[in-house]
Amino acid sequence: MYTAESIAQILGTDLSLLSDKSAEIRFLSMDTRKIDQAGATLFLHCQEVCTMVMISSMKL
Amino acid sequence: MHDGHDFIHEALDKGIKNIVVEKNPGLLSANVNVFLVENSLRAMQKLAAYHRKSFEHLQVVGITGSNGKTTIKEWLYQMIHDRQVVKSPKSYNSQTGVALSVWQIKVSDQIGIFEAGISQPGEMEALEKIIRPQIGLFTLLGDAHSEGFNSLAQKLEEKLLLFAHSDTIIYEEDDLIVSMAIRERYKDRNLLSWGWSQNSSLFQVVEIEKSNYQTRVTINFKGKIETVIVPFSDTASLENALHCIAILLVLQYDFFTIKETLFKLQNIPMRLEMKNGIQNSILINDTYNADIQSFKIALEFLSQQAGGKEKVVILSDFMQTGLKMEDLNHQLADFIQTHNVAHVIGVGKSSKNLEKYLDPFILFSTFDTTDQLINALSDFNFQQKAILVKGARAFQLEKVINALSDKAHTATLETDLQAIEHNLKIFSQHLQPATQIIAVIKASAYGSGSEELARFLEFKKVAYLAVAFIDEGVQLRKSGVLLPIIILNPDRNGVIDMIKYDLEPEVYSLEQLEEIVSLLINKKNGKFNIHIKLDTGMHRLGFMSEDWDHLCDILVEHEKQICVKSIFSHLSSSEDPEDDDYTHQQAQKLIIGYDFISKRIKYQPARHILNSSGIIRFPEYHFDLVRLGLGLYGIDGTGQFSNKLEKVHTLKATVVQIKNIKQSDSVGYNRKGKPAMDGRIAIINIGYADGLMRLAGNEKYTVKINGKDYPIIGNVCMDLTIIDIHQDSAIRIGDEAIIFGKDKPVEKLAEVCQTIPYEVLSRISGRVRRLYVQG
Repeated sequence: MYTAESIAQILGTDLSLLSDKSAEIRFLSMDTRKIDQAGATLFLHCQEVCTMVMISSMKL
Repeated sequence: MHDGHDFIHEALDKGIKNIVVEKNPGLLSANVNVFLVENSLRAMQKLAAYHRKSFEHLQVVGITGSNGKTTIKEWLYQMIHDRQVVKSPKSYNSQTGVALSVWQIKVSDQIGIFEAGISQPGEMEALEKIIRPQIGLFTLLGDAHSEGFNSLAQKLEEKLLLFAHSDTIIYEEDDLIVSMAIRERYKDRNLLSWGWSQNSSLFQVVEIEKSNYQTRVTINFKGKIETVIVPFSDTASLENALHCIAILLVLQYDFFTIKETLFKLQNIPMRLEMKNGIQNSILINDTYNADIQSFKIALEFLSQQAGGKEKVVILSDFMQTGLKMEDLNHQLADFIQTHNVAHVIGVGKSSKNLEKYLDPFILFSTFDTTDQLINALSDFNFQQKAILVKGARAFQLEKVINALSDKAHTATLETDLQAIEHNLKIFSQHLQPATQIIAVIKASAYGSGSEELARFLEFKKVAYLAVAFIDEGVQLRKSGVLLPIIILNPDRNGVIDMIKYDLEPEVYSLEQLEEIVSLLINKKNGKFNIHIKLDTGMHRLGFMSEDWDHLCDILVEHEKQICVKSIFSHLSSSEDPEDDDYTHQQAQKLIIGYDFISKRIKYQPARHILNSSGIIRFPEYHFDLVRLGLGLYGIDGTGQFSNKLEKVHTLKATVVQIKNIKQSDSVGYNRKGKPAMDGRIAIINIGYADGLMRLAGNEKYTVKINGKDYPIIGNVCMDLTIIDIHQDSAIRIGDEAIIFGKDKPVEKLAEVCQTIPYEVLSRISGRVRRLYVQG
């Protein structure tokens, strides 16, 4: 099971914790195919409370 | 083109609680964990690599090469039944796709099969760290995605990096460039090759004998000669199948299992979409690419779905196939003729040449450009035709699809055939080895439309179909379905039709059986197949135990005319643990009844009692057959399979009008809708006559437009529904409104309407357009 804290540890990154840090993170989303469709369908699994999305500044 | 950071607020609106960013997002409106990284793609890959490392026990196969990766991966998935397999979805083989694929690994998985594709130097190293395959497979080296490399050798070197830590590497010995490179670079590994060459270390191909649809391959494996049948005859499929054999041998499968599973291999459908066309035609859209293998698959799908309709193929020039024009046209013509296509319409300058290779009785037309074809479409008769539109992206044949689509402005029920295939596989894996599946497609396949699904399931080799009424069975026969069909609720006046159309009724009473027997004089040849239903406690249809003796008297007396194909029953509470004792009692009663009847009739028909929930909860009663209905459509009444099954149905409507309203206004019949504030409403073209129940109205249920949920305001009307879109100004006429679908479970609508998903799906009316998609 991954939580915000354990993921920060894996990534070795700065983390601003504002939400529940111990809730399970199950879904990961980065849908590069849809980013150019007006953005509306960018995030696939957003209903899951603890979904994590990877925001990229790459011009995809 | 966009920067993902522009969409952070949209993600937050959708309930995202964790975001990984490359730039400080500033002040955020919601409580959210923010992970600041240098490169979010690398961060995702790092997470996936960590996740993979946590599953050291998992046996992982990594596949790379220029072609065949997805087919081999999907075929291995079809062939491995006794171990839980996690695999890349679709063709997820890129820098993002591999990370998302590996992230799926669960504790219960035993084998991982992941594909890796690259388009420039430096990419494979990252993928290798994520996949870490113990077994590597190199398919073949070709020209695909070569533009990012200086030479073929550079591309090969880069691809081989996938095996940096692999113990075993599999490749084709006859592919000299590849085999030499692998031997040179990885001499300390377990190198296993196959091919015609005597140097092949795993197995040697001794003989290949091709017929129209299959290939018989003789193999020398450790000095023993083995023969396998590959159910394809084209070279690419044959090579893919031989790679699969090699992997299975490495995974310690015996030849008996390999032969059995190899013979059942099915084509991998990719991105095929079927919809209603003009003039009652059906349209298959495969306008994404043009290569030989995908053309073959698309033609098979066309044949599978055409039923009695005449077949038309619209195809563009094939580009970058690496084949000489003459060879290419020979192959295309061969496929077209094999599938009895009546009319070919070519688009592009090279397509003209195809005519010379086609049989003269195939009608042939050609156009230089897509626009010229579109201008001429009205000259063709597409009445009752099955049309495949296939072509390279450059030709934009989607414009042809648009021109030929039925423009009836109605709601749509989309059925994802690949999700059905996935669910079928999940249930198949759970079954005892000898148990076969009856696919229950009554109530128009729970709303999906029976004919198309029946043809698909027939293609997927289920043992039986079951429908509710004789008319449904007759319709399936007329549309060309050949599988045995059980009629679960046969009308007493329909026996003649059942005889005529070779349908097999459920027989549940002495009166019904006597009537059937009296009419069997009309059956000229062979026995009439029936299925005996016993009432073991549901107290609906079925023979009670006091009738068994008389039942057997009739069956024995008419043994030359009647064949009992199965003896079965129906559980009343298969999903309810509180009634498990009762369920066991029902199963025992079936066992007793089955023994009694089979002893009297002196043969053993099949035995079955389980529906979808029962299959999951009572493996001890799988017997010979199980009846798979709702489970096939991704609905799990037990909650135990919910994470494994995929949702199949998406019900969609379209926004047809948008209005501004004031808080003081009222909306809809009886002025039931009262806006909370000044804002906007969107009217969508679905109502209770389409199957959206009135209980969903008055803010009890929401629909999803552009990814956001908005409540229904006021009563649901007969043909239309009004949605409160608050002050959202981004919604436009023509936007799609999702009633339920993959991210909006049908169970929620069922709950709001105080019913079960069965009822919601079976209420979707015939006027809702059906659309079938693959992948």
